[in-house]
Amino acid sequence: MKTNVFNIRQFIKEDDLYKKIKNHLQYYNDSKKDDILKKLGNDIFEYENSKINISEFKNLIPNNSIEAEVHNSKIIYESLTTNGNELKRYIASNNSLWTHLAHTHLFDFMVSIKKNRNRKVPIQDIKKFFFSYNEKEKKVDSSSRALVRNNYLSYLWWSYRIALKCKKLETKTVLKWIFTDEDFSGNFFERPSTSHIDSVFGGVIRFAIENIPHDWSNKGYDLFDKIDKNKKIQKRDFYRDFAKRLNARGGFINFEILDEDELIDECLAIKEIMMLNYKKVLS
Amino acid sequence: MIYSELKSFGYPVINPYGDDFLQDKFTSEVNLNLHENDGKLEAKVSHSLPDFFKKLFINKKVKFLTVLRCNFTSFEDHRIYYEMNKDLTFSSKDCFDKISIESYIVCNETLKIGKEIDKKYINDFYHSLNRTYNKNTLIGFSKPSQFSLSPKLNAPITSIFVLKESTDVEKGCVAYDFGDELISIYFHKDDLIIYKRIGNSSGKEQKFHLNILINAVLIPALSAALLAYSSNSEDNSQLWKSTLYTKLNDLNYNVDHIKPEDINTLANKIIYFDKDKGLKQLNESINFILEEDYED
Repeated sequence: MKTNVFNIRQFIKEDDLYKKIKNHLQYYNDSKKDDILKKLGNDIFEYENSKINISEFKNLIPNNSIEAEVHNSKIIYESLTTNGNELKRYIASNNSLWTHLAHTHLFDFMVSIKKNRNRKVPIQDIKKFFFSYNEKEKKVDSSSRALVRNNYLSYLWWSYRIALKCKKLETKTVLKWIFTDEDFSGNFFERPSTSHIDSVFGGVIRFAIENIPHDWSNKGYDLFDKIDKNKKIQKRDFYRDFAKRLNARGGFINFEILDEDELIDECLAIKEIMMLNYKKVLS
Repeated sequence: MIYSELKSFGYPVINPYGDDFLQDKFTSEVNLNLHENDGKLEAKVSHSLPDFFKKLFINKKVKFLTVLRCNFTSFEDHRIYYEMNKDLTFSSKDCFDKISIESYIVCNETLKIGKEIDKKYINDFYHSLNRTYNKNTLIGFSKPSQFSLSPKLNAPITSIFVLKESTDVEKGCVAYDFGDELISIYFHKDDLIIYKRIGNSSGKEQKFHLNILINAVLIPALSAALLAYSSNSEDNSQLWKSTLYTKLNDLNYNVDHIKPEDINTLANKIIYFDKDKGLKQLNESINFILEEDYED
């Protein structure tokens, strides 16, 4: 039977799943998928020639280790297709798809991930994790940034999709970097200005992997041969400063016309200026 | 990056707004066509520039960069070329609803003020500036051209309507015109002002006006459109009919099986189906139908 997209939205809204999450907390705590499926009553999803290969979902690893996320993102990406090819981008940009999957075929998986995170399933977290709800703006967030940071399934699909476009690096390597380095992800992967232009993201991530130290400690990193052990650069500050400078540079150069290597040269020039500034500040 | 007229570069940049460069400004016209058979978007781009700039293009010292952007899908694609008039082809498969196309002029090699760029062409203000344009530096930008891929491509249902003012319509009344492309809804000028407020308001006020537009205007108009379509479903040549066909298909309805008593419910379903895509998107498309002057 076809699952009608309109039914999904009705189900999400009119059956109060969304508005009365507080009353339905047990669904999420106890993984009562049957209660939800009973209401939806369909098990095959089809939308504008797009299909979901549900049989692949049994291969998902129900935890959120880096290895599992790399593995799972590939399965989520490859299970959704339009006419046998990559899922159409505008369908993947639609929150309804991810919310529907999160409450039906992948509900158990989603709940497992939540439990593995060892958190209590607070309402706000469910709203974000299952519905891509933006608590601050009091609405479901359909922005490009939300697609790669709110709903967990959308995050996995878009991560794989973006990683796949980095031609000069292995997809696994890119995914590991995205999933491991939150500061990098927050400043570059989650920002459409860098992540959605293939050559730009390819250049930025290659620059990061090849030129940024990997061994930041919680106390920060000594980039300057231990000039002073008490004065270290925090990774978050480094990336923020770098992103700010890269954006400013983008005001004068259209990064679209640069190839990956030219973009890496731009990044190296920015890093050099930052180093000089840090040296001045720290010395 | 999209630049507004307020953007200041600190060096001369030719654009449609400022007077950094004397003589003419940089303007671009884009004529966009969708090839329905293969989903290709053909953009006929023609640029207008001062003669001395044209020489820079002939000598390949600068180049055009034209970028197509779709915010909803975060999609970008671009083309680089040297001709003043160029037919560019993009794929529409990654686009949804609104897209913008803008062109930039980018240096292909190092240019110097006073050498490749004669001082007589630039504003006196910059004459003392000892500036070099490095390779890939932006030296010009045009005003973005906005398009809606509606109604053919995945656009909200609101894209089939265009709201217009008419002196023949009494205050408080509306009139419909089912054109070949879109459905025109005519209002008295005082009524149209109410809906124009949507674009300039925000928060509760905006929602209030939006709800009036949806409930008092769009749902009745859509009901009328469904009635017109169901009574003559064999002729599917009008653009608004093909959009309705897609929407009905989404909801598992067949136009030949629509009963008159279902029409109002169906119109509500279609409108709210699209509204779920987000108030912002619906609002943007409404702004679009308010602002654009369509020729039916």
